[in-house]
Amino acid sequence: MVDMNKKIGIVIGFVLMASFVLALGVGEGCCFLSVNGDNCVISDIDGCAEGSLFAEGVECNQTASCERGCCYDDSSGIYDKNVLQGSCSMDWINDPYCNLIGANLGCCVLGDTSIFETVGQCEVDSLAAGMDVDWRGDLNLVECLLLAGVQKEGACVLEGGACKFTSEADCYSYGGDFAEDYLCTSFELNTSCNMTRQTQCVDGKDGVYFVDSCGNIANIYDAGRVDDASYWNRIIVGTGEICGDGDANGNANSASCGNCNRFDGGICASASEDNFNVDIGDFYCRDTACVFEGESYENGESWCVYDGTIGDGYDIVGSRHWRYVCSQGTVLVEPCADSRREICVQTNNYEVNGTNVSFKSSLCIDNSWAACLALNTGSSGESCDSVRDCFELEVDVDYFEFDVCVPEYPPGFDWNDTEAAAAASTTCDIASQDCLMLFKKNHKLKWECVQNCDCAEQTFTDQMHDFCRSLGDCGSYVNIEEGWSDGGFSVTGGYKRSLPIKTLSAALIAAYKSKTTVVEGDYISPDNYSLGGTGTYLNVLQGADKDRWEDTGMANPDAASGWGDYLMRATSYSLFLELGIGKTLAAILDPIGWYVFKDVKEKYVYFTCSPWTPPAGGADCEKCNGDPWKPCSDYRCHSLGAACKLMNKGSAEELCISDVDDGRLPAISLWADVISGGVAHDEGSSGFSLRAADGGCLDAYIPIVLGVTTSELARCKFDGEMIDFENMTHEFGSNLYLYNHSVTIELPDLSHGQSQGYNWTSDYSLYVKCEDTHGHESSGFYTIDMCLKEGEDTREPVIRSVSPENDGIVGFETVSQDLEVRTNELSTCRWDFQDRDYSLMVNEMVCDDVFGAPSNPFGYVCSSVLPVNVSSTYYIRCMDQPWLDGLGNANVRSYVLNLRKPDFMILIGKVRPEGVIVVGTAMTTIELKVATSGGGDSHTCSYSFSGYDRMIEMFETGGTKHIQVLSRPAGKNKAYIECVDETGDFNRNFTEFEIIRDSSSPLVARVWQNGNTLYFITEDSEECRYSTESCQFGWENASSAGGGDRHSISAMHGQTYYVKCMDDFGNVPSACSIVTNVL
Amino acid sequence: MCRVDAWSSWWRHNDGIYKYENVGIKMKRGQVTIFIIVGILLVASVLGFFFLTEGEGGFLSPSDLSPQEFVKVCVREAVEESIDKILLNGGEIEASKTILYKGEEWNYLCYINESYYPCYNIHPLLELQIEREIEEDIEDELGDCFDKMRESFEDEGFDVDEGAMSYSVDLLPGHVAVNLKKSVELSGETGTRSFEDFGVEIMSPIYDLVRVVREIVNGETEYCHFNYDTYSFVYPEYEIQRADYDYSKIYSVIDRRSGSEFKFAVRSCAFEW
Repeated sequence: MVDMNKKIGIVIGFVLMASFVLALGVGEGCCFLSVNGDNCVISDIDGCAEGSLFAEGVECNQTASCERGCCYDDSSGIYDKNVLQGSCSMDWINDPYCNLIGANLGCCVLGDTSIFETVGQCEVDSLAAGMDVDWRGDLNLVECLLLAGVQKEGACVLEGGACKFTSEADCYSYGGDFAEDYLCTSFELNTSCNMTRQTQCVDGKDGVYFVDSCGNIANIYDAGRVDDASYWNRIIVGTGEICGDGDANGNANSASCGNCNRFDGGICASASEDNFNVDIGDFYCRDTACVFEGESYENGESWCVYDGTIGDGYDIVGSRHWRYVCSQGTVLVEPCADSRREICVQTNNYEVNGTNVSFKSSLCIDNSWAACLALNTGSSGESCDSVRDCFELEVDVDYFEFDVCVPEYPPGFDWNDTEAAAAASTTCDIASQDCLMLFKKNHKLKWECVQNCDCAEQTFTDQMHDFCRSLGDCGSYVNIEEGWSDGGFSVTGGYKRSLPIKTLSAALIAAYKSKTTVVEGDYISPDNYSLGGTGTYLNVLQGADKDRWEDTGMANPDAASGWGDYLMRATSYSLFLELGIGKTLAAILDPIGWYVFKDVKEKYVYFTCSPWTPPAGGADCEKCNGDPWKPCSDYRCHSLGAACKLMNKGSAEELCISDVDDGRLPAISLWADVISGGVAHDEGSSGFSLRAADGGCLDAYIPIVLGVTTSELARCKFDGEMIDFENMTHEFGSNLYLYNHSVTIELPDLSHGQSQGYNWTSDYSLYVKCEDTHGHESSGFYTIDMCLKEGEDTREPVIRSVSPENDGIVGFETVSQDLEVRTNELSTCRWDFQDRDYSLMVNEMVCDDVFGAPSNPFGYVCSSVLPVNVSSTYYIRCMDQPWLDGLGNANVRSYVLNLRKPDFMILIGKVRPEGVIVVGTAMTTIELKVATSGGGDSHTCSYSFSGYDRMIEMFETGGTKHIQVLSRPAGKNKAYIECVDETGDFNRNFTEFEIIRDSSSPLVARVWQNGNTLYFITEDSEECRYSTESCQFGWENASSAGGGDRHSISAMHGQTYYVKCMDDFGNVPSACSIVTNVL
Repeated sequence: MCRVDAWSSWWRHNDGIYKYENVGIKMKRGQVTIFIIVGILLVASVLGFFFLTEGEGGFLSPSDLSPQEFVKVCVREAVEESIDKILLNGGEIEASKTILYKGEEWNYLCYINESYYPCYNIHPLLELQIEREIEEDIEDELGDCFDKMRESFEDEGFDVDEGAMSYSVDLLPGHVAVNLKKSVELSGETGTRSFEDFGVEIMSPIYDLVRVVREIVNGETEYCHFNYDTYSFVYPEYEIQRADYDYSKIYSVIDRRSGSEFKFAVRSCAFEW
C-alpha cells in the first residue's frame, strides 16, 4: 500500500509528459518548420527545414513567429483561429480566438437564399451573385435560416416577355416588373415561360419543385396538378393548400408529392440515383430516416454502440466506443478514439419549450481516466465522484483496507510501442501492493496469523485483481472475441499455512467473461456524472486507516516523495523482496522466518499487477476483419492474440492476420549491452555467469541489471528454481512480447542473513525461460550464475534519498517538518543541528522497517520530525546492522539537509480584468492575469468560473505572473483564483467583470431640413450612409452622410432618402436608421 | 460542348438557383480531352466550310474564328485537374504533411505534434493558398494551350502573333474564375483579328467546400471538436464524415449536389502515451 500515491504520480507524470520543458542544448533553438514538417519545435539547424526560420538559443514561446493568433483577411471575411504568426501571409493579430468585429456572423441575404456568415464573405457572395450586399448583423442563425423562407418572391417580367422568378430586390436590379407571389407561368402575366413536367431541387429548401420552360422554379411538385394551370399561376402557401401538408414523414418516398420536410424525414434527392420510381420528373423526397439493426432513427440522430459491458471499470480488452450517425438515410460510422481514449455518451431526449422531445444524440468525448488516478494524489482536493467517469473502488481485507479512485472506463494500452508499454506497466503497477500479515506464537508455540490473515484468502486475490483490472488493460481479462488471458498478475509471499491464493475465483472469472455481452439499452449518459461524494484513497489512508496501522504496531505504509528514479528502482525493489529473500533463498530461510522481533513475525503477501497479455497464438486474428460497422485497428487486432498483426496499415486493405508459426522455439542469449553492476562471463547457449569487474563475487545492495535477448518476440520469466514457465512468478522486466528483456535486481549482504542465523551461501542461480507469441517455450533453462561477496560487512550505509530534498522550502506557517531518510540497508539514523559523530548526535530517528522488507522503493526508511522556526541546516548520519547494538558501520560524513522558509506566505496581488468591458463581438478574448508574491519558488495558479471546486491550471503559470487567455461570452463573470506554492501553502482571490456586447445600432436623435440640406444627429454612430432606392443597399456602394454624431445630405426636393448608421462596433440596422422624404 | 454546358447549368446561376438536371454527367478528364478533339474538329470543319464556301478565293476570314473557345476548353481541363488534386490533397496540389489512411495520403490542415494541445491551423487563408496553388499548377499548361491553339491556326494558314500572358485564379461561390489575358492576333489574307480576354469560369463547389472546412478547422483548433452532424443537419447540402485514426481525425466533406469531396486530416488534442 505504501507506494500507491507515488505510483499514481508516475502515471500522471507520463500523462502530463507533454508539458515537459526541455532545456536548450548547444546549437539548439526554435525552428519554425522542422524537416519533419512540425512547426515551432526545438532542434538544431540540421533538424530545421531549408529556408525555415531558426532562432538559435531561443525557446519557441519566446519567438514571435510561434505566437498563436488570428490570421485574417477582412476583404474576403476570412478569419482563421489559432494560427502561428509565421504561417500567416496576411493580417495577423494576437487573438487566437478571432474575436474581432469583422468575424461577427450575420445573415447574408442573397435573393431567395440566406447564408449565416461574416460581412466580408457576404460581400464576396453578393459580388459573385451580382447582387447588392444585404448583410444583417442583428440576426442569429435560426432567424437567418427562416429568413430564406419569408423573402418576397415573384415573377420578374422582363422585356420581350422573358421572365425570371426572383426576389423583389433582384427584379429591380434587372429592371423588370415585379409581380409578387406570381409564377412566371401565370396566365395573367403572359410571359414566354410555359408549364413543363420537369422538377428539381432548390438549394436551401427541402422540397421538390416544378420548373418551367425558362428554368424558373414553380410550386411544390404535385403529380396530380402537373397540368393544372391554376397551380402554375401563383405561389401556393398555407396549410392544406399543398400536397402532403403535415405528413408525419415529410412525404418521404412519395412518388407523387414533393412537399419534403427534412425535420420530418424527407428531403429532395435524385430519384434516378436512388432507383426510385417517381410519377413525374426525376426528383422525390428521399427518406432521411435510417434503420439500423431493426431500429429506426431520424435524420441527424446519432447513438452509441459498444463492444461489451461498459462502465464500473468493466470495458473489455480491445473494445472501442462507436458512434453511429443517421445522415440523410445513410448510417455513418464514427469510431471514437481507439484504445478507449474517447468514450461515447448519449442522450435520448431533449426538452424544447417545456416539451420532451425524443431524439438520440451522441458524442465522442475524451476519456478522463487519468484524472481519476490523479485524484488519488490528493493535491486537487476534489472528490472522486465530482469528476466525471470516475468511481471509488473499495478494497477491504481485514486492516488492508482502502478506497481508490479509478476510471469508469479503463483505457486500452498499446502493447507494441515501447514507451506506451512502459507507461502501461507503470499504470498497472499502481495495483501492485503488499499486504503485511502479522503472526504470533500461540500457546503451542506455533506461528499463528493474527492480523490481515485474509490476505492469504481468495478475497484478497479477487479484490486486488479487481483493482488491478480497473486501471486499464491490466491483469487477467477477456477480449472482444471472448478470448481469456490468465496472465497479468501474480500473488506471492505469505507464510506456511497462510500462503496466498494465486488464481482468481471461478465466480469472478465467470463474471468477467460475461462482460463481453452488451447490456441492452445501456449507454453513457451525461446525467451519470454525479457530484459530491466522500474522501478518496488518500484521505482515508492519511486519516482513520493510518491510525489503524499504528494500532497494529506495524510500520505505517506511507509513501515518500520523489519518483524520478523510481522506474529504475521499482523492479529491484520488489525483486529484492520476493526473490532475494522470499524466493531464491526461501529454502534456506524457512522455516526460521525472515526476521523475528520478539514473538511477532511479519510476512508480506505481494500482489503484482501487470499489463494484460493477449492469448498466445493467432487463431482469432481474422475475426477482426470484414465488419464495416466496426473496422479493425491496431489495438483491436493485437488484443485478439499475441501473434496477431495489422497488415497493410494505412491502406484500404488493412487486415489483421496471424504471424506464421514457424514452429521454432525462442532461443535466449545474453544482452551484453545492458548488463551493469557486474560483468558477464562464460557466455554460452545455456546461460552466463555474472561477476564483479575484478572477476570476484558481486557486492551487496548494488543495483544489477540483467539482460537477455530472444530470437523472436517473446516474453520471459525467471525464478530461483527450475520450474515450469507457467509457474514462474517473476517477469523478466515485463510481461510484454519483446526481443530485448532486462530486469534490475539487488542482492542483500550475506553476512546480514548469516548474522541473523540464516545459512545463506554466496552462490546461486537464476533460471530463465521465454515463450513466443505462439506459446512455444524456450528449451531447457537459460541460467544466470552469480555469487555474492562473503565476509563481514565493513561498509557504511548509503543514504539514498531524503525527504524533503536538500535546499527544499517549507510552508510559511510550518513549525515542524516530517523527515524521511532512506538507506540501502537496514539501519538506524540520527540527526543533529551540528555536524558530529553518529554516536554524539542527539536526535534518534524512528526506524521501523524490518530486515528484508524496505518500505520504500528507495530502501529502508527512518523518520523523524524536524523543528522548523527559520531556515535551518540539519545533519544526518546512519548506522547499519542494528542487531549489533550500536557496533555497526556508521556514516563518517553527514548528509547535509538545508531547509528554507519563505519570508511571507504566498499572496495573490492584482487579478485582471475587472469592471466593465464593452465589446462589439459575441465572444470576447480576455487575458486573465494574476500576480503573486511571497511563498516558495514556484507558484501555480488555477482558475474557475464556478467556484473553488473545479480549478483549471492556468496556461502560463509557475512564476509570479500567471496568464490565461480565454474566450468568454457577454455577461457577468466571476473568476475564482487559487495559487499554491510547492510547500502547499495557498491563497485565494477572485475578480469580477462584466462583458457587455453592444449589438444595438445607432439611433437617429433628430432630423431636420434646411434648404437643400438634410441634417440629422445620431447617438454613438461612427458613420452614416444612404441610398435613394431602398433600405436594402450595400454599405460599400452607398453614399456617405459623414462620420461622427452630426450628418448631412445634399438633398433633392421630393426624393426619399434611406439612411443607415453604423457604430464603432460595426452595428448596422437590417432596416434603415431613418427614412425621410425631402420637402 | 453541349454536355459541358449541360453540366454547367447544374450549378448556381446568378439567380441563386441550383439546377439539378443532368446530374451524373459531370465532365471527366477523359471527356475533356475528347472535347478538345471535338473542338479542333469543329474549328477544322468551320474552316473547311468557309474554305469551300466563302470569298472569291475560297479563303477563310479570321474574323469568324474563335481562338477563345479553343483556349477555354483547354484551360478548363487544366483547372479541373488542379481542382481534383486539391480536393484530394486537402488544399494542396501536393500534400505536404499527411497521414496514410485507407491507402490515401490525407493532408493535415491543422496539426500539432504534442499531445493534449489543440492544433494550429497550418494552412490559414486556405482560399488564397488554393488560388496560388492552382495558378502555379496550370502555368505550363496555359502556355501549352496557347501553343496548341497557335499550331492549329498556323496549320490552317494563319499568322499568329502573341503578346505576354497574365492570369489569376479566383475561388468564388459555385465556380472558379480564371482571369486570363493575352494579346493574340490572327492574320490571314483577308485581314487581322485581335483577341485579349481568354477568361473562363469553371463550375466547382471548391469555394463552398473550403468554407465548410474552415468551420471544421476553427472548431478543432478551439474546442478540439467539431459537431459535424449538427452542421450537416443545418446545411443538408453537405455530408461530413469523420474517423478517428492513429491519433488523428480524418475528415471528408462531400458536396451532395456534385459529389465533390474535400479530404483532409487534423491532429488536435491527441491523447498519446
